[in-house]
Amino acid sequence: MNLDSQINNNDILLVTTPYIQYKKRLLEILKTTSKSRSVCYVSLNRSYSAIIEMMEDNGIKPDNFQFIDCISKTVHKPKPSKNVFFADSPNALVDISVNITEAMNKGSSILVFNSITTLLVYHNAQTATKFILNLITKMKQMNKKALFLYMKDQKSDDLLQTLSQSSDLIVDLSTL
Amino acid sequence: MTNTVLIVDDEPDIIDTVRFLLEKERIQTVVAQNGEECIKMVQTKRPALILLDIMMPGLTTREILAKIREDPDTADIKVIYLTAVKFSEDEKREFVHYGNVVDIIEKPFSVMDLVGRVRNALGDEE
Repeated sequence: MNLDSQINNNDILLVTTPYIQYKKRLLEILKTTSKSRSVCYVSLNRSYSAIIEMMEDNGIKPDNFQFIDCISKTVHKPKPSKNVFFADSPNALVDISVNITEAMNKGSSILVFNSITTLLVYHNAQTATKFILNLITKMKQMNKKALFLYMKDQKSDDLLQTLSQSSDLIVDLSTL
Repeated sequence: MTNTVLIVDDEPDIIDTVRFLLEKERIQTVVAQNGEECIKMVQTKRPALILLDIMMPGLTTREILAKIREDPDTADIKVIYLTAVKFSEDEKREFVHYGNVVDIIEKPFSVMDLVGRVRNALGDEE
């Protein structure tokens, strides 16, 4: 079954990819999710400007996206744009959560969260788990879909075990 | 100011690797694992160059650089960003033209590349 069908048949997906395939797999996710859906894309490891550059280079139109960039403001003062919210940093969990809700209310049908692995750089497992579980609950209440991306490593094993209980499907992209 | 490189990263493995590589090249190093430690080391050790990881808990890169720049004794210390975060080409050009940031090294990096770029940044002091 391909990723598109898996998204159609499930609401909450935990998606894993090996680090070596990361960019290729991220592009597949962006192409697949935006084909027939409006996407709220949360980035903790790639600036808005870099995402747009990557999408343009690979023929993905940003029209179907609302972006939440959590990293640019930690390094510089980014230029405002109409389809992006710049959080102060990945530490600003309340701001990030509020802006996800706003994006979903504005019409996004799927949340793409990139990534749980990076969230763990900024927060301990307990805080990260609580935050992701809150997002999952919120998406279920709003009747929206969500895809949480992570890279396999020992650090995230316990967290993923907890999150898997609240997810509909775990997808290993390396096997698709 | 000494000819020392301050390595700032929250990943002990990265610190160990970079430290080993630089000390093998007879470049003196000191280390810090977060922004707060970085500020303390800058004030006490006065390094010539900071290899600064962008993705760390605690102080942001902007906050760290602001603190370094507000002290006239440390304001001129050169900085190389060491980053797993992806930025656009425009942003990278903007960074290296801003203040004391002289280079950006993206993770994963090659050994030869890292050493060469650190040597290049230290050029004036060697």
